[in-house]
Order: sequence, then C-alpha cells, then structure tokens
Amino acid sequence: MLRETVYNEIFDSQRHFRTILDSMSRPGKLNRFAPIPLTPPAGLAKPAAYVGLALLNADVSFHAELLGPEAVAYLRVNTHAQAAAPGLADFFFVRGSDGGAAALIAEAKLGLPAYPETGATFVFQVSRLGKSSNIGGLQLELTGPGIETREIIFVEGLNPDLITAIKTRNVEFPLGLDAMFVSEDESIMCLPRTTRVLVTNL
Amino acid sequence: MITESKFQQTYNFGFIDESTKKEIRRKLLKAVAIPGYQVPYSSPEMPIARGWGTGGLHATLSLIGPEDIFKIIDQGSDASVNACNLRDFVKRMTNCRTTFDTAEATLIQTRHRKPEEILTDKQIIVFQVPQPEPLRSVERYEFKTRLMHAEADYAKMWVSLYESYVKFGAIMQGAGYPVRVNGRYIMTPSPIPRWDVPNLSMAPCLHVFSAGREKRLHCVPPFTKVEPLEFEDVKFHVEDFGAITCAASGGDKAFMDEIYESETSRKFVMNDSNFMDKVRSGTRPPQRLFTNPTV
Repeated sequence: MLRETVYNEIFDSQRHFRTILDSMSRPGKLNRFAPIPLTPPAGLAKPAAYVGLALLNADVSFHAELLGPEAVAYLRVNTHAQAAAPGLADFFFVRGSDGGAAALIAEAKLGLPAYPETGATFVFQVSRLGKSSNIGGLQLELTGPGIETREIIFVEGLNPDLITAIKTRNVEFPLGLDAMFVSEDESIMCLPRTTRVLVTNL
Repeated sequence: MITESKFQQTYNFGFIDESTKKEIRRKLLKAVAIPGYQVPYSSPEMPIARGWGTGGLHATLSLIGPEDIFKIIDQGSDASVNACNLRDFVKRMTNCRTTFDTAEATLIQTRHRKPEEILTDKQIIVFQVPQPEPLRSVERYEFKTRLMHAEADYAKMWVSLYESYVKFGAIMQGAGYPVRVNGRYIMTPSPIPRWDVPNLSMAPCLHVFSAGREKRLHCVPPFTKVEPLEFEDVKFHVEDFGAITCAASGGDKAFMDEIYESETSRKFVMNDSNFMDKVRSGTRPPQRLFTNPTV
C-alpha cells in the first residue's frame, strides 16, 4: 500500500515538526520522534518519512533518487511534492553511508545572498546516534548558535566524506545547507549551517 | 456511521490550513538556521487586521499542539485588550490550556516585552513585530535593505547612531534597539524596552519574531550571541529606575510603568503583571539583570 492511512496530517505533523524544530534550534541534541506505524518502502527509513510528511507539500521539491524509485513514489504520493533534479531540489533524502551523496551535496542549491533561506535541506539516514562513545562511528564536536559551550555527538553509519562535503559548501555564511540526521531508533539530530563541526576521532 | 471528528468542527485545528502551516514551519526552520535573517513568508489572512498581531498568531498557530500551555501578554500584562482577544481566539481554535503563569507556559506570545522571569529550554516565545526591518529608518526601499543585509553593509546604521549621539548626547533609540545576532545580521528585537534586550543573548529558550503585515519572520535560537549596537566609548544602557519600588508589590529591579495620579503625584508599578503577582506573594522568580557600564 503506497498511500499512508494511519498518519494524522494535523496532529502527527505538528508533533513531529516540534521535534524537528527543537533539534534544529539545539544542534547536537538528540530527540526521539513520537512513533507512528508508517510503512515506507525499503529504501526510505521511517523517521525520514516522518520528516517528509511533516514538511513537504506541493510548494516544494525533493530529490530521493539514491533511495530508489519506490521512495520517490512514496514521497510524491503522500506529500504531493515534486521530484526534482539535484540542482533544483529543496529537500534531499539520502543514506548517510552512501559516499555518492557527496556529489549531491556539491550540486545542491545554497540560496542567494539576498535570499539565503532557499538553500537546500538534507535528511541523512544513519544507523545510530548517541551521546556516549560506545556507539561506533564518527565523533562530532559541535559549536555555534544553539549550543551553550560545545556538544559531542556520535554518529554511526555516516561517511566522513559527507561531513567534509557539507563543510566545504557551508563556508560562505549565510549561504549554505542545513542537515538533519535520523537514526534507526527514530531519533533526530540537526546541524544547521551555523554549526561548526569537527570530526575528532579520525 | 461516519466517526471522522475532523468534519464536526467549523475550522481546522489552529485556524490556518495545513498546507500553509507547513510553509510557515519550513520558514521557521530556515529562520532558526540563519539567526537574525528575515525570512519572507505567506502571512495568510486572519480574522484580525494585519498589524494587530497576525504575525504572532501565524507563528503561534503553526507551532501549537493540543498539549501546549499557552500564555499571551501585551506590554507585560495578561489582561490588556490585545492579549485577551488573541487568547480567546487561540483558545477557541485549539482548545489548548491557557495560563497566566510564565513558568507553566510552554508557548508564550508577547507584544513588546520579554517576561522578567528566566525562560527555560522547554519554552518558545513568539514576539509580535510591527516593523521587522531595522534599516528601514535609514533606507526606504526593501530591495536595497535586502542587499545591505546580504553584504553586511551596515554603515548607514552606524552613522545614524552616531548622528543621534552628536545631536542629543545619547543614542536615543528606546524600544526596538538594534542588535547584531551571532556576529552577522543586524536585527530589530521588536519594540521591547532596552531593559529586555540583554536577556535575548545566550538565553535557554527559542525566540521567534513574526511580522504579519510585513510578511517576515526571524528567529534567535537559544544560546546565541545578541549584542546591542554600541561604540567603544558610548555603551548600551538599559533604563535606570534607580531606587524606585513598585507601589503594588514593594519590589524593585524590574521594568516599571509610570502611573500619574494627580497633577503633582505619580507612582510606579511593575510592568510584567505575572512577575508582580509572584513578587507580591513572596516568591520572586529568578531573573537575569543587566548592570549598566560606567561609560
């Protein structure tokens, strides 16, 4: 079944939006989504589908080619957003382990100096996010607005090339990309373009 | 039998339709990601006139959920007319719990004040903004101010502050004192008194500023540096109330309203009504106070 019937367009999207907003305001903070029994296709992780259903509508476009044609069809049917080429898309859905996404990051729009909010938003599907080092993967040290002093977060299932690619594109503030990371246990962590990221265990 | 409760109501939850809410939500996320930058947004029609708090309502109604506890103040008071009417409206459209207690609220909408009490990381404060463009007093065209922001070209702003100092011996801007957010964008904090301006900086709560008539919204995320514009030798000062105490609660060190009693006498009362009630009941909440520099 392609079309979701269990998702409450009013209340589920509001609750998920508040989770995303809290994560975006406090980079490095882990938030858990309220679970909804969605049935997205194999390529698209459930929390990524939450983000899509909460934020996308017919006014915006997305790029999810790397997750397979079923994921693209699912997002199109359930949000009415249009699939678009990487240079035009507002939202990107990719796997964090997929080094091929670096090419998309390099091509995504950054916004214009007078309208920097038109820069793209990336949703990375990773396997685990956590605060303690017993989670493998990258250790990120974060500073910037939304963080009192500094935050440390561990991300498993994220290709370090993608962090490098994002940093390369975010050098010219206010132009830039904003990133969301969603994990298999339905947590979310965000890195807006203002956050300075240091990979400290490579 | 049809059990869909959605169609038993005349209005959508939160009045605004879901598609427009999504648009405002996306813009809010971008406003958080670019602190101090004014994001253009749709500003949908509301049942009150633009310029009377529609911007605040757009942000509030896009944020609010059934579990939220809502507080709204106008010039510090829960009981003034703008606050009462907008509270009634939000209550009717969402059936959320409302409160006067600043500490209990999860979502606070305000006109022209930030509450004295320190807001926590569980709270979001929404400011109603009449004029979001701090450069409007020095440049009348929108396309030019947009370019000035893009290029961080704030020379005219500095000159206007300097001119004010040369003419009057002080920077005269009282409410809506221009600030620099995160070392980049110059932003108006909406017409809050100078007293509240230092409390925007490195605060635990999220600040949302929304101007319905001008169709712009901007944000100050938590723990973000907000600096009032000042010169090396002419510093920013907050209002000095000296030894004045509140006539109703006896407390001091809060933003005061001046009340004229007759031709010869006057008194002062605390402007933040909930804060005054708490001081009066003997439980003064924690506050962040700014000490004026000596220069």
